[in-house]
Amino acid sequence: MKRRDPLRYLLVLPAVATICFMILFPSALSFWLSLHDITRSTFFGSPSFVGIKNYIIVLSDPFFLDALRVSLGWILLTTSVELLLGLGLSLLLNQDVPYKGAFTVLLLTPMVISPVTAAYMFSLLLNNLFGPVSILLERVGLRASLLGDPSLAFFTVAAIDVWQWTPFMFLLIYTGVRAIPAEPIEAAIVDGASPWQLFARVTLPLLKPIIAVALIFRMMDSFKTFDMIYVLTGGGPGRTTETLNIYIYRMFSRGDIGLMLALCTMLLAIIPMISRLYMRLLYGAPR
Amino acid sequence: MSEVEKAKITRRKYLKYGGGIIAVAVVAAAGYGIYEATKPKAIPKLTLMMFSSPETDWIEKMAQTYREKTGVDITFDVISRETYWDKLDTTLLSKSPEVDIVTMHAPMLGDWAKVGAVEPLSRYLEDSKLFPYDVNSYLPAAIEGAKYKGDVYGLPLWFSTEFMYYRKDLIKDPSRLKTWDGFLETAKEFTKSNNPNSPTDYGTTMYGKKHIEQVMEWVVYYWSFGGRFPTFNSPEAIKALQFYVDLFLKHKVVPPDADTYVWEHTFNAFKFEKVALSINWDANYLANWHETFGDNLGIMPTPAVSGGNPAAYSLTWVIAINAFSKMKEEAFKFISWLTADPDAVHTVSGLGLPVPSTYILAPDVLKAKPHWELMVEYVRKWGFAELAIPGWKKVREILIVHLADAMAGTATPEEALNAAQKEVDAALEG
Repeated sequence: MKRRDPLRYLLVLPAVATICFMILFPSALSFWLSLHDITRSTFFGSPSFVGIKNYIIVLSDPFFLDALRVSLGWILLTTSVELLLGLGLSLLLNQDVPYKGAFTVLLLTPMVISPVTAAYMFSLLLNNLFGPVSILLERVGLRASLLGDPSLAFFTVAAIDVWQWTPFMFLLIYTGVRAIPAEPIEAAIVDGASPWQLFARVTLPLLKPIIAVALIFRMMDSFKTFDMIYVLTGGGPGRTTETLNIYIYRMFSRGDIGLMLALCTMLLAIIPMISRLYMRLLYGAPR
Repeated sequence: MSEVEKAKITRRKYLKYGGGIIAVAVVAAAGYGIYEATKPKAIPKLTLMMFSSPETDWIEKMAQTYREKTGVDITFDVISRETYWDKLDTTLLSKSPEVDIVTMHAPMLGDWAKVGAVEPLSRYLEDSKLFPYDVNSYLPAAIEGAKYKGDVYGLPLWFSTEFMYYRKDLIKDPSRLKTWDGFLETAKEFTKSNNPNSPTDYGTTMYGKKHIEQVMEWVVYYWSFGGRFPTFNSPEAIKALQFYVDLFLKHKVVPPDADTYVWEHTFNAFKFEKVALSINWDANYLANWHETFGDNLGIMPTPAVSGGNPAAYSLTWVIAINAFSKMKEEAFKFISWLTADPDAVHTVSGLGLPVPSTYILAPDVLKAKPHWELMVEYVRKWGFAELAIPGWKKVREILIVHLADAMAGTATPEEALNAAQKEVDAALEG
């Protein structure tokens, strides 16, 4: 039997060690600590072991369910709109449009700005006293507090997120569009397919793998969104933009570190479930 | 070639590569050791963490003076107002020695002193080599507020209160601002939606964002309506919150996005003449409002209920030493110089920092800063302070969340404060 060259194990050792020390170990430690009563007062002492008490407290907090609902709504809204816009832009820019290069550069610009900078920029633009957007809206008779109104704030912040991350979706999907071979398209045209049939029966199925990757990436990123929401609204008005990340942050600010770790551990379970749901929606149930 | 010879060649290959890596590592380590041993002695360097504010600008100037005097370099880690408290938490909880000196509100000191995250200073104060100043120069109330179980854990750095600022050119008769009803009527008069001829867009503004600054604003209303710590769901407290929330939801005398406002928004709203009134910090006087409005800037105590007293919120900032700092004595020398050296206190107070020191109560100092004279008078007559007890930080965080619910209209003031009180009682028991 051929001896396996041990060099292969040495070469993957740095990556494995990194994963262990930076992901597995902290996750395991977080879980262990979440079984203790850790607060700011007990942090430096010997926190007592409380088992799953922290998990029970979190799960029975109605505000946790509110935050979960806001998070799920956030992911669904932002990723769906970003997908639709990204797909549309990819198909558009795959045609011969004038100034395609310049338009693509402008399109990608929001993605290179840091989310905090973008949030501060929009908080100034949308300010009701000084912001040009609010002033323009007032001039056309629309008095609205886009960030201050509880019924609008969520959608405003989501729109800013869409503005920033649609280019990312576009970039990924565009590579897929460019990679579609010409033959199936030509064959479908020869067979008399309408533009809609061409898109639905040929282009879209070929793009499914890249769309799945783009959605998973964006979904994971979207779930992690904290900075933009915190700068713009702090999770307010009320709790209308309080996602799970903002809720976790509030727990940390209060010094309820054990509760915070319990929630983080639960998120580790929630995120893969959402990923599976997306994959099922795209590919159906596994055979 | 036989299997044994192939294995020998493979082993030699590993020895060659492994030996090469080890040799490079040894040479690099030796080189670094020689560099460390021969490099010139570093200038002692302290790191001071503060939040972005006019006070930080003034203290940075003092740090330059200190460097010229002693050769000790002070680096400032300036954090935004919105995230400073979390950065403070993570720095102290992580036992990081990267930051030597921190600043915080006196009510928060108890939490950190209890867990040993800030250095007890009494033994430094008793050492005349480290503290060659007069400890009685600190105002008694200020130094008492910096103690935990009898030991001093921070030195009083500055104290603040909130004034009722108004425009004298717009409001000829400020006496109506003495009551909350008068304040509301005046605010309505200066709100364009009520009065199209108003020179300002809105009557006033507020720290409406879901943030600690909102709590610090609301407690003025709370105290003047008769609320008393740590009871937040008393009838008086509920009335105070109802009045506060009505400014935003019912009377609309504040901008419609005031629930996203922090200090910069309230500061600019008044400065750029968008509002006629502002309940705001004393520091705003020197941080440009006086320069902008000159003699047209009016200051008075915050309003009171009819027949009641105003509430002068007295907030002391302390400067403390991180218990995990590796330069505690150097850090103490700087903070004691800044707060107790007569020349330093005179200089920094000349810049604008109201150090809670007997030195700044001198008539000539108070005359040069007329708003300080008012501040001292208001605090002496009507001053109140938050409780400096462990758990108080959590109480503030609880209030942040429930005040926001009331502001959004998702809970009535009574519901919000009842829910808050439950959590506050549990927090203070723990």
